[in-house]
Amino acid sequence: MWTKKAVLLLCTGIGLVLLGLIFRNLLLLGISIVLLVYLGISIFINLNMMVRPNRQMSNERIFEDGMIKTELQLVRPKSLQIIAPVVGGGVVGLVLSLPLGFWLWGFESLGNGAGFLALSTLLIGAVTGALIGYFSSKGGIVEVRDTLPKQVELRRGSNYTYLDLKPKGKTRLRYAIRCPLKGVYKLGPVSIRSHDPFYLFYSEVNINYTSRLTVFPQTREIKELRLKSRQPKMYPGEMRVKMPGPGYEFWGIRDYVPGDSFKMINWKAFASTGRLLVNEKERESVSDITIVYDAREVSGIGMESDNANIYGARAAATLTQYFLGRRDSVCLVVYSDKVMTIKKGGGQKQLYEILTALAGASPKGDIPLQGIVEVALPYLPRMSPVIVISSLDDDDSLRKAVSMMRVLEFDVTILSPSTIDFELLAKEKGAVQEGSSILGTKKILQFDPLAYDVLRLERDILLKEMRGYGINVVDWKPQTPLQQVLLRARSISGIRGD
Amino acid sequence: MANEVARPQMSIDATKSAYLIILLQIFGTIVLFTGGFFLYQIINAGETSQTLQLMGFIFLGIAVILGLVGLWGSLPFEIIELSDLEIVPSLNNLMVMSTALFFILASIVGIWGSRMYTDVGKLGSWDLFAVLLFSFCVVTYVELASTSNHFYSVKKFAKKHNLKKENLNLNVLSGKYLVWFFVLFTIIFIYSWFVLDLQNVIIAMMGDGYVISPITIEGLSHQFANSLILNSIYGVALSMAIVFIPFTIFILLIFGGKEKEDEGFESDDMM
Repeated sequence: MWTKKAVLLLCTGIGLVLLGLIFRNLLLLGISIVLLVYLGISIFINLNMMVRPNRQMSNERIFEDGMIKTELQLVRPKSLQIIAPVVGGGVVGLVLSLPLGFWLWGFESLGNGAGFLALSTLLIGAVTGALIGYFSSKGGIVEVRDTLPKQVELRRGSNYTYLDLKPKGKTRLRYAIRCPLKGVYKLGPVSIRSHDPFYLFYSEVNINYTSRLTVFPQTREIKELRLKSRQPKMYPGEMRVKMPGPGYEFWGIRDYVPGDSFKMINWKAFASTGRLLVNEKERESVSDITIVYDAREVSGIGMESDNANIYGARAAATLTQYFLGRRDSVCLVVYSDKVMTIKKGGGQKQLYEILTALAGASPKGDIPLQGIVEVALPYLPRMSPVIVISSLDDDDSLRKAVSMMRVLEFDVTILSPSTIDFELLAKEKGAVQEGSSILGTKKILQFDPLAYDVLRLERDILLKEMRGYGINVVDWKPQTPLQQVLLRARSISGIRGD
Repeated sequence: MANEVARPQMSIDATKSAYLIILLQIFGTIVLFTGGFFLYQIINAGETSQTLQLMGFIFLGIAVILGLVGLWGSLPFEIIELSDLEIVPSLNNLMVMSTALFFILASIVGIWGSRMYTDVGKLGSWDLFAVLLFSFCVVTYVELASTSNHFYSVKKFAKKHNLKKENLNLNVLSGKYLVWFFVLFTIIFIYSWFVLDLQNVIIAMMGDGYVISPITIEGLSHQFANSLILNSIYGVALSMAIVFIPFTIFILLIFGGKEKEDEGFESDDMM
């Protein structure tokens, strides 16, 4: 490939020839000759260079805001790369010396000496070319860049180097990156650009060597969330289900029936009433929790760092961690351009599976919620809690879907990040950045507030309508911290549940 | 979320190489004034030409533009990260100052009506050699100017990104550049001399002692032969055509039609 410098020099060289002929000026022609020779010789300097990369990362899975250290080792193998430039250089030298050789060969007056001189000239040209080829293959000026996704932030070191790499030589690129946003990223490919010493021509190769980096959404600590299944499971858990059964909290007293353990007999009550009575405990059980995460294209409204997709993933991750921590089973349904379901389960493995699914859920597609309800929810245990994390935008099937869930007796809670507020936030931040970059002053926002008022009104009506179905709906504004939102969800649910 | 780099206070190797850039600039300036000397020689020895003033301005434009090329096209990946102000060379850049000085002087000389050669046939060997030396000095200057600017931008980049010695060592790079510069520019000089003098070769080929002389003399049209015999500037143009047209075809045959290929590595190869 030609650099801009080479193209400019070529154009100048050709332009000077024309100008020289127009003005009948030898100086212009002289400069163009040197320029063209300069370009012509530089083009034959060997540019091809093979480098073998090896990337090592301190961690392949991190949470948002985490840092990883990366080391990219570059080795230039000793290979047959010397032969091609030497042979190529020799041929070029031979070709370039041909005019002089022919000229010398043509002198009859020199007799046999003419042939000898011509051959010597060709030989000298070929050897000179081969030597240039050899030296150019020994070392190469090369630029290496380890391609990073734009979402990561380089904190230390450099993912770029510019060096002279000799055969069998190696170098290391060490850098640390911070990953502020969830996602599944690819480090690489490694771009290698070698060029001649005069920077006239370059050769670029993308080595398709990539490493996968998974950034999980950030999780927060939450103390208590009283979401539970109204249909108890057979396994003991941490949630009390308002019915007698195995547990630790006192529930009530009943008459003794054969088969009851003697430990359960309330001897004080027996002393006062003369009847055998037993203490009953409140049943503590596990719940099956279903989280439905909306990753449709509309969830990407706002900034890359502040949108419903990112916030929703953090909420889903936090809830998953909490529920799994109290030994519940969690099922995740992600819908975007396709539906992905992580079957219910518990433990650390389930947590990582769900976090990985959330990390990879980028905003795309437009599947309606009704489709998800029809496909996924019939297989879930009835009366269990379903948490829908969705902005509720652009979905005409919402009412039908909610109605269907209520018919199936699911305890539905909707966490709804407000895309209107995300959009406004993006506009505000954009205006501030633009203003500060130009004059260091804050630019006044220019938009019609009436349009947003209308949108807000529509959203309020929708949320009220949802609440009318007997659903807990939490309107989530970007300024509200996640813990506070979950606290609201808890209080609403707590009122209902208790 | 751009790939921004924090700037912790660490030693910066690239800045230690500043003297090499200054060296290149001084070297370029010496070359430029050497070229000026040869131009002076040519002017004093030559015939009338009204184009010197025009040439002065042309050279001024060309040299300044080419001097900027070093910054404009220096680092393919990272130059875009520099702000607009950073890619414009500062006024204390010795090369830019000397360019302006030299070519303004050349223009002033042109205004005073100095004369230049246009008829190659009346040039002696020394005159032709002076023309070559001047041309060579101009191109060398252009190369040194763009390279010093290039290294300057590399240094700026290294400073901005706080690159360590292992990532970017300007000493090694500029040292390698200087070796290549002396080797290749020697070859360039010899080959340029050959091309410039090729018309004498062509004339010699038409002489009695040359095998193809009868063919050339008989075969050429009157106008074409006259142009060569008069040893005019068109003879130099013909020499260029003889050399560079086959050369271009040769380059096209070698480099034409090559597709860029991505190199893939298996994970086993890496470990």
